[in-house]
Amino acid sequence: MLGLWTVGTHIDLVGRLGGKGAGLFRMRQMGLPVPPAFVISVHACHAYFGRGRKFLGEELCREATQRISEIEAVTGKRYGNPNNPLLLSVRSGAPVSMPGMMDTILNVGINDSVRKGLATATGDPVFAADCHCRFLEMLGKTVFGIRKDAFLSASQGISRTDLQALVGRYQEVVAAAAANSSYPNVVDDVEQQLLACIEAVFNSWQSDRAVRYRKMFKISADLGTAIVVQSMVFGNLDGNSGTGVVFTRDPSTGARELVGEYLVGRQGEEVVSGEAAETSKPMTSLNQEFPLIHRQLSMVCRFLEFVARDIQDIEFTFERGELYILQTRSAKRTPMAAVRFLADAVAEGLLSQEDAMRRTQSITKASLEEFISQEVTRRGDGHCWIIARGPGVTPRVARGRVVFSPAEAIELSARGEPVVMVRDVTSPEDIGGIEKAVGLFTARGGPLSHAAVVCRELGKPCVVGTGVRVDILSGEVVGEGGVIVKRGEVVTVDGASGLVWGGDVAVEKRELDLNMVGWIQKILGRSLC
Amino acid sequence: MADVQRLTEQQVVVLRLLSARGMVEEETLLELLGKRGVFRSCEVGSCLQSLRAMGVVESAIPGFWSVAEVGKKLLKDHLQSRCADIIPHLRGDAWAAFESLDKELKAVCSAWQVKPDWSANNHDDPGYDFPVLEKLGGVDSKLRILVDRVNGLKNELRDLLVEMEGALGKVNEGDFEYFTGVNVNSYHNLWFELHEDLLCTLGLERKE
Repeated sequence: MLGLWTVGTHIDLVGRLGGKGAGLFRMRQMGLPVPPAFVISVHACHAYFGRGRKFLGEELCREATQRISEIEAVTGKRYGNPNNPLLLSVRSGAPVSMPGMMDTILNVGINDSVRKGLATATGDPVFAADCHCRFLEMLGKTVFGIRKDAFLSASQGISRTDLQALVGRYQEVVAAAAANSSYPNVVDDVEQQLLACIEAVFNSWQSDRAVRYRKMFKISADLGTAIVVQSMVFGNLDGNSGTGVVFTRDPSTGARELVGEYLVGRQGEEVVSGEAAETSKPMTSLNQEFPLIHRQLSMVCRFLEFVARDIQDIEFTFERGELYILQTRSAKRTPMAAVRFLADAVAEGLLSQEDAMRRTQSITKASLEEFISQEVTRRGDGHCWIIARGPGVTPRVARGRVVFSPAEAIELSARGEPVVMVRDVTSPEDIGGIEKAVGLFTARGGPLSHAAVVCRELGKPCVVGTGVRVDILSGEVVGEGGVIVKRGEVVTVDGASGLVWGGDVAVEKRELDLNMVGWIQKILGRSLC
Repeated sequence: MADVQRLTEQQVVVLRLLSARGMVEEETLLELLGKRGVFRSCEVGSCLQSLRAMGVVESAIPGFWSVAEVGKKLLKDHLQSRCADIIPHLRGDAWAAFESLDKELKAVCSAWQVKPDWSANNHDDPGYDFPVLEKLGGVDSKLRILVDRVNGLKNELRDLLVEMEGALGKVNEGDFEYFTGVNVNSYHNLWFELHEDLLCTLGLERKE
């Protein structure tokens, strides 16, 4: 276990502490405002499974107690004590991302007396009851597998203002589940609460879902998970508190601006899980509403990006106007953003040319190819008209002669002619034709049709469900406004805009920044003309 | 005369695949059939030739195979007589349940290919991919429950169901081409065939 408020030794941080733990350690070392924490290393996870999962070792329990004292010393709060109570979050953190594992339990260390103390300390009994309920739900779910509906039905018939009764009901649900477990007093006993959470995180490493996930994505079961135990900060405390996530650069374009969202008066899980999406606000609002926080956050972003030498995805909380950084990691980004970042980073001196070239390994060529090959149609100087419109599939443009069946598509394309197949509705027997055609449009069907699935797989632009009338025998399609297209006529299919054009429509390739072109050519290993 | 001859199990598999996929390039056909449990790869060619001799399949365009009109009728009669007892149980609720499951499967396939905002899925986010893969497993379980409920259907679709189990197994081991891949016996392709099969047996037209 590593207390972050003691002197650390040189270790493989991520391998031992997990991604989250390592990130926290580094941020703490840099002097960033991180809520005090300790990390239970993966070794403890191995030891737990080595013992056949029977119990958490005495040593672990002792150390945990000691680390909590350290946190108490730093924060001035006391775990389990109603006078200025310390609440903790318990979060899993494997060395690699592991969907399917248990994530988080917040507000650990709360019972009836602590809740009352919290209500007094904050002057807000509603807030305290909310924290208590949230804790019981998360504990119930992650430790005892209690589903949300059990809590919902327990709260039937209780008025929303009778918080004490609501908490009571939730406690009953959890107590019933805990009765025959190793933690029968978990509702009142804060020591049991912490240990139950720790054990639940370890167990989730071997949950069915986690095992299936590792098998699918070829991840070794030997890695184990670390656990981060951290002092709670309350983004849901009042109108001067909030939670958010921010990217140090735009993750879809790579532009040098902060992109993110935040909520006022909410705890972390909601923003990250996207639950409260309607009321979350962008970074520009943060600048107006909380300019000081925004300024501090901007500095943190610049700093973290500089130290990590990569775009960062940062989770933050502010409580009563005080900013805390909860987590930082390398941000997911589109291939284009990846290229833009590398180009900019070299220009800024953040990365050397060699480092940047090495980083290009991680950019998938296929997705970059897809990005640069995107085209759209637009009315240009030539005479053109819209034949049909509908949901588009695959953001490309293709031009070819209209054919009405797979056999026609195969025959004509064999003679070197690009063909566009039109069908009333697609059935599997069109696959052969779709393969040979450059594009497709259908009268019926939607973007979730089998045709769409096949077209996407093959990268063919396609417009579905256009409502045109297809007459195979006479070789005619009747489109928008009664326009007629005959067999063999040339049409243009725009899968991005969902349009089928007749005549001479202009095709616009994606405009690439000149700085990007050089990089893209290097990555793809070919020239772009 | 083709219509009085009885079809072997291998011939039925070839006919069903061709009937489902329309006009198939020979190389692709050999590849797909060669990997199916019912064939040893060397047997596919001779099976095709036997069907051609019967006038049931044809190679109207060199290098491509398709079912002849005669063959379509033969397959339909064959399936409908073989499934005569099953057909009444398959109509109504069971069919409605299948169509609903078909919608679910198509949605899962699309979710694998594109994210909710319709941008292409680069598969760089296991947090997004894993739940989609789990949903595929869920659809498969529901299919088997549905099939079990219709007397005799499981036996009738045995070959396809085994192939689908194989495809799903490969997906669960990380071979994701077997999810929506076009030129392998992917789960999506096999589902497509299954659907086509049931439509043919019931004498229905595909609505999309």
